[in-house]
Amino acid sequence: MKVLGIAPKFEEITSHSIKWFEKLVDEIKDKVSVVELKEKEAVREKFEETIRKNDFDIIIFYDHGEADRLIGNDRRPVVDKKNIHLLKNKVLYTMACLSARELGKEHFKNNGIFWGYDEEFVFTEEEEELFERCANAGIKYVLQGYTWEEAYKKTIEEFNKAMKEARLLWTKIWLQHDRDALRLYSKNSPPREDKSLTRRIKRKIKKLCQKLSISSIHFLHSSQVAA
Amino acid sequence: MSEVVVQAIEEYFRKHPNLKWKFGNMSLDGESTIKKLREDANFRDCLVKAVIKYSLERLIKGEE
Repeated sequence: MKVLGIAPKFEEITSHSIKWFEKLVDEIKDKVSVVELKEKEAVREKFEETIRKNDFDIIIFYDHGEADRLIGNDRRPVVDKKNIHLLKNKVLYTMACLSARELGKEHFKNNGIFWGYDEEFVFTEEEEELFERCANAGIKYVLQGYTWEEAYKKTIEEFNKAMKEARLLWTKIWLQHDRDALRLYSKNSPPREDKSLTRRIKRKIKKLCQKLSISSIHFLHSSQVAA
Repeated sequence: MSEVVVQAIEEYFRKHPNLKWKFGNMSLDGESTIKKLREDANFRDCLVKAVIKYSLERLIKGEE
């Protein structure tokens, strides 16, 4: 199995995510062959040149993203809807924000498997290792022999376990948020269509949340979890 | 009602001013979180939603 790993580093947050990426590569390099495009090499031209010359199975991208793109070291898109066809039939594994919304769905249409997030990826610095563990979990499960669908379920469990281990209330809240934002798009787990009925249900849940917010306030004030 | 949640988040960050966290491409601490909460409606909605969802899950699971 051959993996292409892309990890820019151009500001503070990418200096965190590149460490997560490096740790992941360290943990999987005995099982797979990894070609890395890091920092200045993590740009569109280098990506396109590398993927055209090699037959990769999995593309890993850490860090920033938007709904329709993954952002490179020069702050331009490394991957977007114009070149996503280069990943046809491959797996795209990312912790980038929001990319499940559009880019992931486009990739799925190209017979690709997508692993990523449909909201912002959020983490606390003090308990960063818990977020890193969850972000890196999926691909490691697959390399242990699990299917992507099984790896997704096990990663959700990993998030739940991390929530229990977390000391900070703010960490627990955002581990849950990231857990719920994780998306796997595969043949057995296709993207859900956002039909009008779904939107109506979402609106009702939102109203219910607003009505129940007194409970959340009570919890915030009375929690014994030290932050 | 969401204003009550915002006040609770502000109170939380007043108690934990040095809590550093990352939201998308933003690096935040207590002071900058409170400032952003007041200025950015999308950010505010996202935080309120996350806090309520977390509390609801605890409520449903019967956790203290």
